[in-house]
Amino acid sequence: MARPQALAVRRAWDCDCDGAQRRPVRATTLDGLGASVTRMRDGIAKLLGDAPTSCPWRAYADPVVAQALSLRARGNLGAVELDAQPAIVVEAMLEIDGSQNHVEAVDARAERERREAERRMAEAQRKG
Amino acid sequence: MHHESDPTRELHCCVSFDPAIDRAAMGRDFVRHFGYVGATVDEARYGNRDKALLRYVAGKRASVFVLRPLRAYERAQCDSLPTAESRWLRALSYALVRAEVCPPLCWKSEAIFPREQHDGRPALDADALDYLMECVSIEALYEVGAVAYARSRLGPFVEGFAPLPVTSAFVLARQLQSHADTHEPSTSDTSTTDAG
Repeated sequence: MARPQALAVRRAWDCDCDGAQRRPVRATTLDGLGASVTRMRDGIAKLLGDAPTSCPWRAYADPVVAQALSLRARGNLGAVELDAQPAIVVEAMLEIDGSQNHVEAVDARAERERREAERRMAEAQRKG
Repeated sequence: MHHESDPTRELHCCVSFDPAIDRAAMGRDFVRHFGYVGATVDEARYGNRDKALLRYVAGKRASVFVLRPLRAYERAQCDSLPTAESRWLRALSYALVRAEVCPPLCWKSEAIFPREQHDGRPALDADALDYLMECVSIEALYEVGAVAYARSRLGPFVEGFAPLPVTSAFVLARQLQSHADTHEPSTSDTSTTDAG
C-alpha cells in the first residue's frame, strides 16, 4: 500500500498508533482507501453492537486481546485449564468466540439467501 | 496504554481517602486516577489507577496494595456471592499479593502477605482480613476489593477499569455534604407558623 493511502487508512480508523494526535474521524477529510474504513466501522457497529475505538493493528497490541487470542489457540488444542487462567482473558476469549460465531452466522445466512435467490431466478427463467 | 491499565499484570493500588495523598496537588488528576461516582449512573467515571498521576503530601507515604488479576474460578466464586461488598472482600482475599500499610492510613508500618491455603495457593483468610480491617478500616478494604473485582471484568480499557465504589469513605463524605447542602436553609426560605 502506498504511503499516502496507508496514512489515509490509519487516520480513518481514528487511531493514534502512528504517533499523530488522535482526532475525531468526522473532523478529517477521508479520501482514497480511508473512505472505505467508515463503511467498515459502521458495518462492525451494526453487526456486533460496538464500533471499534482503534485500528485493527492497535487492537492486536492490547495485552488482553493478545493473551485471549493465544489462549484461544491453545484452548482449541485442549492444552489449557480455563479455570486457572485470568478471568478477564477468559472473558475476552469468549467475547471473541461469540463475535466470530455471530459474524459467521450472518455470512452463512447471507450466502443461503443468495443461493435461494439464484435458484428462484433460474427456476423463473426455466418456466419463462 | 500505560503499565497500570494492563489488567493482566499486577496493580499497585492506593486508597482515595489516604491522608498521604495530596488531593489539592492532584487537581483533576484525582478524578482521572480514582474515578468519580455522580448522582446518576451516567455521571460515573472510571479511574485509570495510573501511578504517575499520584501526588503525595510532603514527608508522607501512602499505603500500597499490590493486586494480581483474578483467575476465572476465583471470579466465579466472587460472582456467586449475594452482595457487592461480599464480592469485593472475596476478590481482595484472592487478589492481594501484599499490602504495604503505613501511617497516616494505618497506625503502624507493616507488610502483610496472604497465607498459603490448603490448595497451595496464597489467599487472605478471615483472620487476616479482620487484622487488615483493623489496620486500614473496612472502607479501604471495600475500595481496594472493588478495584480487584472490577479489573477482572471487560471494561472500557482506554478510560481505565477501576471504579470508585459508592461505599468508599470519599464518596460517602461527598454524599453527606451534598445532602447537607440540600437541607441547608437559605434566605428565601419562609418559616412555617402555626395558625392557632
